[in-house]
Amino acid sequence: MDLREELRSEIDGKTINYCFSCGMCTGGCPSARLNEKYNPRRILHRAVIEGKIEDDIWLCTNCYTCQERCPTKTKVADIISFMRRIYVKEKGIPEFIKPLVTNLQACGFTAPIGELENKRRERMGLPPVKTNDEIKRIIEKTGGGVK
Amino acid sequence: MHCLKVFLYDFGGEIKYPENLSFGKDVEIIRIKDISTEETRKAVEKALETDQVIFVGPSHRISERFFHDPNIKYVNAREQVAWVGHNPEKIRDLIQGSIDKLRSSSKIEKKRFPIKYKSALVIGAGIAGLETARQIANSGYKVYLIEKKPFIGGLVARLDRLYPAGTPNSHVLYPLINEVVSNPNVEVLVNTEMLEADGIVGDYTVKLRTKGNVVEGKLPKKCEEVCPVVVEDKIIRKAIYYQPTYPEAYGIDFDSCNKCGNCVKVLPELTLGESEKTLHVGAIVVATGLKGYDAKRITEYGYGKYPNVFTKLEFERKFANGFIKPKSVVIVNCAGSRDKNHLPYCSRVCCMLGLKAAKLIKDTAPETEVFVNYIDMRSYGIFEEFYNTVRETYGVKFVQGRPSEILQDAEGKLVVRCEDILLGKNIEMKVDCVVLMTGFVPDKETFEKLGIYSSGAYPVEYVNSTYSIDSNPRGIFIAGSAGYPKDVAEILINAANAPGGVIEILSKDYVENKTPTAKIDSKICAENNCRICITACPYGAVHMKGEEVTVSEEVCMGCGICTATCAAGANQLEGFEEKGMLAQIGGMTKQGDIIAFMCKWSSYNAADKAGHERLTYPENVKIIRIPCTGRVSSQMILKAYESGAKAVLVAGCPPDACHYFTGNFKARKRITALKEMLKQFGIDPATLALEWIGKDESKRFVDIVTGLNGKK
Repeated sequence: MDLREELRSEIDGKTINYCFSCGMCTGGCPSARLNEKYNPRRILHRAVIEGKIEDDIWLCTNCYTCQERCPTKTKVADIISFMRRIYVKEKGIPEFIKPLVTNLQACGFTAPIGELENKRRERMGLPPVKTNDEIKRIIEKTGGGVK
Repeated sequence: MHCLKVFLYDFGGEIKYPENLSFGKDVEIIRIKDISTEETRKAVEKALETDQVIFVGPSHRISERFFHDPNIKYVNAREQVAWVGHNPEKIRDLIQGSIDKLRSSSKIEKKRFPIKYKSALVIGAGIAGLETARQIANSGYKVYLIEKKPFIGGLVARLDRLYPAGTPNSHVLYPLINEVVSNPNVEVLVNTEMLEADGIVGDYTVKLRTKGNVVEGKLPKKCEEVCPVVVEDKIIRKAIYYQPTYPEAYGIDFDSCNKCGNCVKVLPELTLGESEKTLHVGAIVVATGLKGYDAKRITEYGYGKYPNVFTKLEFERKFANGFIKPKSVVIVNCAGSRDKNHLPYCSRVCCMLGLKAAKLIKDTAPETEVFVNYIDMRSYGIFEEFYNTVRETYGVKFVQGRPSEILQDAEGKLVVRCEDILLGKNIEMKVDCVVLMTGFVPDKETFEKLGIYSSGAYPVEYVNSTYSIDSNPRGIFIAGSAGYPKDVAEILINAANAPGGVIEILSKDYVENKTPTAKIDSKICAENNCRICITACPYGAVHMKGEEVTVSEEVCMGCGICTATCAAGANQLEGFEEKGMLAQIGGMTKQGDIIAFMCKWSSYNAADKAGHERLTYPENVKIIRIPCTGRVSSQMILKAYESGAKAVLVAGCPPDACHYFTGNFKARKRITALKEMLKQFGIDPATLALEWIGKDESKRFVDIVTGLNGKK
């Protein structure tokens, strides 16, 4: 199915037409600051003009800064999440995302939490993070996980 | 029973009338030879004195040029019958419908408003208020010019220069002020606010409150020195201060004054008290101008947090007065404008104000590095040249991209983070100073006091350009930027509109209303009291007066949208009363007809054009002219089906282009709901059509009615 049509079938996806390419999303994006390849404005514009999804959508950290600041109220972060769902539906989980899923299955977090993190938490007066296998059980029971 | 006179005009033999045309004893048929003669006009006028009149001949567009009485009912026998090749017998049904309608309608009384006071109140003494006052006063009428601030001149007086050429404001302002204040017809009241206004055109009662007084001709600097209140008004000043406009005196800013009385000790003539005054005027001009949007609300840009982030006016005053000398500047266009979180609209002049600021910096300090951040550069008309100058001659750098955030680094430099869209990557600009080109907001308080209806931010009449021609005479006008943001040149050119309207009214003994208005039967209304019509009116003309719902005749434009929403039948638009409309539908409909309700602003003209082009469409299509599709009530459509119609067409202006803003959307909602109901009555909902037909779309009209005729 055409990406544009899929987007149109979602209430939040429809807001892609609100975008007037002002660049406020990219300007404040922490991911874009570290990686020139990532540009949420370009992702949205490419979807409108070319109807294409590329691998760069996986660089979004879901911080929602773009969506918060967007002057046209385009649901930028939601649209990118939605594009990820379309991506997985068509091409499956990409190779470079698989380690994250493995981690999630193993410890319940996408990135393993080690001593460093717990030390930082201690300084901030937070209890240490415990890993458990609850998520692992959920993933197994629902038939998920990396195959 | 009414007596009726039907005038038949055969347009030089082009319109064939059916033989033995007769509608009963009390209907007299008169044949005329020429529509344009004095004789015809007199005969119609004479008939109107005693009887009701139907004029059968060409379209309303032509007939209304010769007769101005709203009580005449026109039947369009030329465009709708003769020219489209229909059987003359159709005219009989059309006339019968009109007769039935007139018999169930009441007479539209002409309303006259005497101009009791030949004077005007101008609220706001900025550039627009001054120009308006000048023109009215020069035409010989008394003008009261009131200003909220202690000095006149408004926003322009506080600017350094005007774009595009960078002319200092003194070129415009000083001669204008001198001409206005020296005119004996003008009374200037500063530090004065309007508390309330009541009345109608020609007779307004206005209550004013003046704070303090003006001691002209005495300027002891000591007044300012003893004042303990320091005010940060873009530049730093005291609560008592002097501004080189008018009056030539010290003025007190009562918003900041703490009433310590130190200045009164220096100048005993000064008072700090308040006084009230009541004025009677015939017309009011609102020239309240604009305020800048509160930049503190745009939290990402750090205004109020970082000392070197300024708004446009602040920067101009500080820079021109030499308080700041930045080495590098970023000018942020659209700060908070075109932004659904702040101001959703474009304030129109900020792009050019940004260029003006860039030119101001480069003119006085050419070595300064200037960046302009923009989304789209709106340099319309002659301003493209200005844009070119600033880019080509001055070397200002333009970055397409709206800054996402502004931060301050350890050295106190401001960091502007934005995407350069043309490079396709993020950039950071480290500069000394950032100027936010914030948008403008109008003074809504005055609009509310005067009952000026605004949709969104600005008054509605400026959305629809036909306001002056088809509305009833009103005594309240809007001048200058209060309507929408304008630059000084535009204000001076456009400011002629308001004084023109005021002078037109004041020069007459009375004004008459042109448009029939909606009327509310308070007795029926009180029983239901649903108040739906209040929300339906696109102009805010229907409102509560005490416990009663009333229509202000001045504001009503005669669309009838409110009438269609009134389930009780209390709200009736003159000339289009529900009873009359139902009678007309019943009178003209025969079995198997198609009834077309066509909006007089667009689709009715498309049907006329089909006649001019000698197109033809099914003979059973009968057209009813309505002021707006919003006036077509469900009852009218059901009545058409009940009388034997096989299909109904409701045709109006294209979406967003409704003459009355929302009438066609209201019609769409109503018809969508009605289609559901039709199924329950056993009527095929496909026979009810709602179409947008523009004035030139005659062929589309023919296709649509032909299609409807094909349905069984």
